[in-house]
Amino acid sequence: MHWLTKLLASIQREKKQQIARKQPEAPPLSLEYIQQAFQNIHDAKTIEINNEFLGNIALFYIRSLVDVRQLQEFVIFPLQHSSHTSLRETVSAVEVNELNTVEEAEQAVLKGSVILHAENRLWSIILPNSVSRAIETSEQESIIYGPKDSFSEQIDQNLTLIRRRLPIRALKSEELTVGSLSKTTVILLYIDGLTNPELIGIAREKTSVIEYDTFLDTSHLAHFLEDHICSVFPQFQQTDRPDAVVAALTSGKVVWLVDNTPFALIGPITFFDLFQSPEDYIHRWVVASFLRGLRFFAFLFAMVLTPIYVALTMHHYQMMPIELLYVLLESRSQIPFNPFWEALFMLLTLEILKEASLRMPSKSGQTLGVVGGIVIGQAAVAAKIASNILIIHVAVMAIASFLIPNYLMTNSSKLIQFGLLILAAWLGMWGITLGLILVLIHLHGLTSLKQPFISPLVPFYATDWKDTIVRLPSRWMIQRPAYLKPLKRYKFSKRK
Amino acid sequence: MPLAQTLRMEGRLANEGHWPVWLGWIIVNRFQIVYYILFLPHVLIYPYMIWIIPIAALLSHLNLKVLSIWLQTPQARLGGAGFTQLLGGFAVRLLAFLGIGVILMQSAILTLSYLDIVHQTLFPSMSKATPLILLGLASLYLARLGMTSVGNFAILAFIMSFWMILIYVQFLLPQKAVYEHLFPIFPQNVPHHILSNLLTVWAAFSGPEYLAFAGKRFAATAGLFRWLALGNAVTALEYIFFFVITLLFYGAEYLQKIDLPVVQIVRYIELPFFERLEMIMVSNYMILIIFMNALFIHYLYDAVCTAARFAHKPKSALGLTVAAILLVSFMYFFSKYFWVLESEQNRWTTLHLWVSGATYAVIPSFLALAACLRNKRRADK
Repeated sequence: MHWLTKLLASIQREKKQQIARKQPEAPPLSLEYIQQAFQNIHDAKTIEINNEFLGNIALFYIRSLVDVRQLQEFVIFPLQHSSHTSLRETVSAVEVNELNTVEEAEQAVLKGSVILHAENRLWSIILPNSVSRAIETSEQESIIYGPKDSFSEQIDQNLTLIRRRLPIRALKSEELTVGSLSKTTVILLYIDGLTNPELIGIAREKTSVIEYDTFLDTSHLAHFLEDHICSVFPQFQQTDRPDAVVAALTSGKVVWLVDNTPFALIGPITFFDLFQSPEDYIHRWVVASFLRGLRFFAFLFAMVLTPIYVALTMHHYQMMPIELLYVLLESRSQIPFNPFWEALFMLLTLEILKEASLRMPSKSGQTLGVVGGIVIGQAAVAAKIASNILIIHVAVMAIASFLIPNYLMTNSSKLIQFGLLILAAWLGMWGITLGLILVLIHLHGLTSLKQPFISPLVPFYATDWKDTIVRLPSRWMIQRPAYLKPLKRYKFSKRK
Repeated sequence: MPLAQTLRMEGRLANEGHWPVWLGWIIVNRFQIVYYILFLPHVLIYPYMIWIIPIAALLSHLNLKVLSIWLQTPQARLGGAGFTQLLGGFAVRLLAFLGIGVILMQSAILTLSYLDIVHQTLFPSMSKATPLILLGLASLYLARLGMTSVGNFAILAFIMSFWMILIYVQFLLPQKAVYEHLFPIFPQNVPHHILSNLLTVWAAFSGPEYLAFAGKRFAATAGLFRWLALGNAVTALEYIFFFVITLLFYGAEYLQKIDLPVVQIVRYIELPFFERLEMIMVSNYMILIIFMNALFIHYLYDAVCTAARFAHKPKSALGLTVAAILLVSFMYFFSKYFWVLESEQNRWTTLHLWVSGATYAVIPSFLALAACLRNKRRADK
């Protein structure tokens, strides 16, 4: 048997050598090669400087990626006038790294470094051109009290905002790159010793196996991280608020920061997280609980209000008290369509108006609101296309849908509403109930980062109910969410 | 171990593919009330019959003790292999074959009875085929999430259905409640048909026997009995509650003349925006039927695989779909050919009562006895 083992080993060795032979040899590292690799790029520049002590020096960079003012001040000027004999001493104000491979050099150029040829070696000096807006107030999750800062497109700046709030060395940040073309930097954040390692492992693995060419946004990344791609429900939370990210990290979640995106991705989340707002923790707990309950009610209300109107008017007239029935019959007496088409027409009109107002400039958007709300609404009633009562239903439903803090969730509820509308027209209240049960089963089967989506309901975690539908006083919320299985259960530092 | 800690640990285990032990009470409770809650007060008419409920509940309590003994045996924890170890391959296949018949019959009768109520309350002119197919699809959708998820769905089924009890509380209060209807609370003569009434109520407590085949699903079986007993006690309280409110509202004389008193009583509730709330209530009971049928799809799949000697193969989505199609097809043909006349329906309902009562009495005791004898014999050796 020994000879067989040796034979197999030699075959394997031969195979490896063949594979190695097939791979093209890496080109030698030289400035000429780099220049050639970046030819036909109009702002790729080469500057040659003759220094008395260092000899001929060549600088290569892409002008649009490099901070030209810093380059002039910290690199070119010292190289022209310095009398040091060492490169590092000459440009001591900036970080200088020696390059060893062509790939390193290419990546450095593309990330905003200047390639410097001196002392017969290649060096990189990191001088990225930081194009960024200032730290502004969050538009998506604006609150009255509490911190006002929000993320920008600059990933380092976003990381700074988080690190300022969490000045601990346990806050770990792993850099990953996604996108074969976009080479997007993604930073995976978690608190070591608190976040469940299993979650970190899943997050890391899911991010590292992504094979796609371009990532321009956190939503795009989320699509590749989701467990259920066909669901209408968002399985990750997106926020541009550093305080929300820190709250998520300290509760044992993981966070992704994506370069050139002002939104962070939080996971795993539950269905109930989508109804929480940072302001919940600013209000008195009774008020916060009331507002949170109101949001859940509004979500359900927005979904079922119009379908119930259709079910009642098409199938279950007998469910209405006689006085209300008279009002409804009078309102609908001259409408030529059945309630389903009437409701569908009004809902689609509303959605068109909402979508148009989002795409239009803000001043025109206001005009559109007036045109849509008053003119179309009034005209539809006057033209006997829709009843007064339906207009009220649609308006109340539209306002209720805005109570949901998560915009993605608002849009999900719209889609469910159309499904329920069809079921209501077909099977009345029974159809609506069937639709809601199907939504419930769907939610029951969902997971976010492999964690159950409707926890703490199923599986049931009694302690997590302190911060789900109601928000109890912070002093009573002594434990972190159990469904996250954090390594440190208690929020109070003296307990483990 | 403190309760909170137990719940926390159990929650974790539930997340890892097991049912937490406390889930036992919800499954028992929802399985017991799935259908009988709607028509049981029609069977119990006179005030003194209220005593039948605690008597049946007590017997059920003892039966659950036997069931928990069986569930704690190593054979129950092994699942299908445990049954083969206990009874032998041939006997297991034979029983699985019988089980297919029982599952199909029970599922068909409960679903069709529910659809009759839907038909009567919501859509008198609609064919039963449409809601039957939709119920089947919803059950399949749930079943495809896996047996663990189906069991956990009991929590949602409970939350979605238990709140309805609040609607009825007003019938305990004066104006609507006539307290004289509660008397005589003790019979003045020897009551007739007491045994058949007891059988009906006993059958109304049936359902937990299906847990006998789900021993390996529980994360742990220590302390299981107290949770099963809790579920049984809640069911008994619900039955008593519904019997009392219908009796207080209708009185014994009128109660024996109406169908579905628990459903009909809701018609007397008037809200500013809605009336005829029974339409919402009956629709809402669908969640229990879907839950029950999803479990039946899994049991049917297991029974067919065992009978056909495919039990060793892992469960597949296709297999579950086939089981669901089999179940819905059976229900459809059953409704078309055997569930047409009222006399037929009564006959099948009576058969269902007997079968439910018998399976509930026999399955736990038979399995517990067989396991105890075998384990004792092994210990003697």
